[in-house]
Amino acid sequence: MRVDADKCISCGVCPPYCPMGAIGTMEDGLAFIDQDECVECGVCRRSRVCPTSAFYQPPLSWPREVRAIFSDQTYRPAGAPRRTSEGMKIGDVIGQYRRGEVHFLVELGRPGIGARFHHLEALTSAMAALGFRPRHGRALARVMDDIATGRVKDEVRNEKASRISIHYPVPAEQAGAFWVALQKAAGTVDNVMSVGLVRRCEADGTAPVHGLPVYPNGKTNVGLGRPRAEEK
Amino acid sequence: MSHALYRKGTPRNLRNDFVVMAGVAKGRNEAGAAAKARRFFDIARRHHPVNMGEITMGSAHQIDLDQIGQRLDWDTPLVHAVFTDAETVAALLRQLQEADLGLCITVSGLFEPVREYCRQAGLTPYGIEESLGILGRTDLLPAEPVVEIGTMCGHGLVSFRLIEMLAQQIREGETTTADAARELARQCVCGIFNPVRAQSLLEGMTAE
Repeated sequence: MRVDADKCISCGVCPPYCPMGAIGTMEDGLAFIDQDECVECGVCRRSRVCPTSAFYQPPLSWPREVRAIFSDQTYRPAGAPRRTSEGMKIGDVIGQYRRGEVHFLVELGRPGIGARFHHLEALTSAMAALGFRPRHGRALARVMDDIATGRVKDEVRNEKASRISIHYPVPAEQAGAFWVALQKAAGTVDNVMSVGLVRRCEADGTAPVHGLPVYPNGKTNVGLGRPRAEEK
Repeated sequence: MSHALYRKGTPRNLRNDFVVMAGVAKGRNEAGAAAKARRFFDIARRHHPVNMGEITMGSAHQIDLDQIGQRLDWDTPLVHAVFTDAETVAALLRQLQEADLGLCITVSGLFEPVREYCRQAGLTPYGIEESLGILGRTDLLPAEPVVEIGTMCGHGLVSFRLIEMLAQQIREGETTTADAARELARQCVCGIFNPVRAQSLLEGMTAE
């Protein structure tokens, strides 16, 4: 994102709106965006906080485009299809979750801090050394060279996103060991990460107690999707 | 990305925070999904949500709700509606069960009332997503009430700095908690931010 200096009237209203704190003002009051901190989420432009519509989005090319791909849910790369739902929200018709398996969801930089892809490498390589590999999804395939070692592509290493999601499927009996490993690995990453646990309910709709420390709230797919996926 | 997970709070201050989502899986239940999503939108709207929206189009605090309803014309929408009590969510789920739209319905909120509704209605939940909290450099985060408000937009579009600035303006009498909550809701594109809960958290933050 950029600020059109010819349009900016130095009103100073916009800086707090940026989730990454990337908007600053110069001595004369003109707003500017720190391009290294901006994650291309588009909040400043969409918020319509600027009375003169001075924010504008130049075309993004790789590797900078990775910022928008990971940070702006309204962004669609040229030629890409409209984004679709994924994960537990559509689990009842996709059926990718199996009983006896849990899925840890790790979101680097969330909440509200943002993460660089070298943080991703620090986490995935620490977890790889402890014996855990993430699922090789489309998003990670774009940014990683080697999923087994956790190495990210050189050109994205210092790019920044509002959050970077990593998905670890783990056998249920290893959930405790994974949690211990993740806490250890988290200590080696200079950032925050929100951690979720996704799992299939039993046939009677209950979810067995696993002993991990969870919030009292979360998401429940109530099972109304049709056609229901085959039982796995 | 799980945009409606990790809503931070206490069992007490989460009692007024429920998001009901209707989604579609490409290649599975997308046939006729646009019409079904519009139907979901109409049904949910009758239950007076405090926010509503579609993940790529915008929220009730950004554009007119009629416009969102009319423009839902593709087969992979993800529609949200936010409610402030479990009873309303139960009534909506009952109606959605009767309508049998075939859309995937997920509720984000306290687990217990959702579990109880499903038990009473004979519904078998497919699965759950739980939050294990925040690891790593938690010293980078602002005060707890700011995080509680900010995490109501899982895409991270509600800036912690904006929350802190608006709280300061409330303390100085320059704005009200209601206006501040609406301004925060305006930043969230998909309409899962709860302005009622935000207002009550802002009241707590600025009371002393």
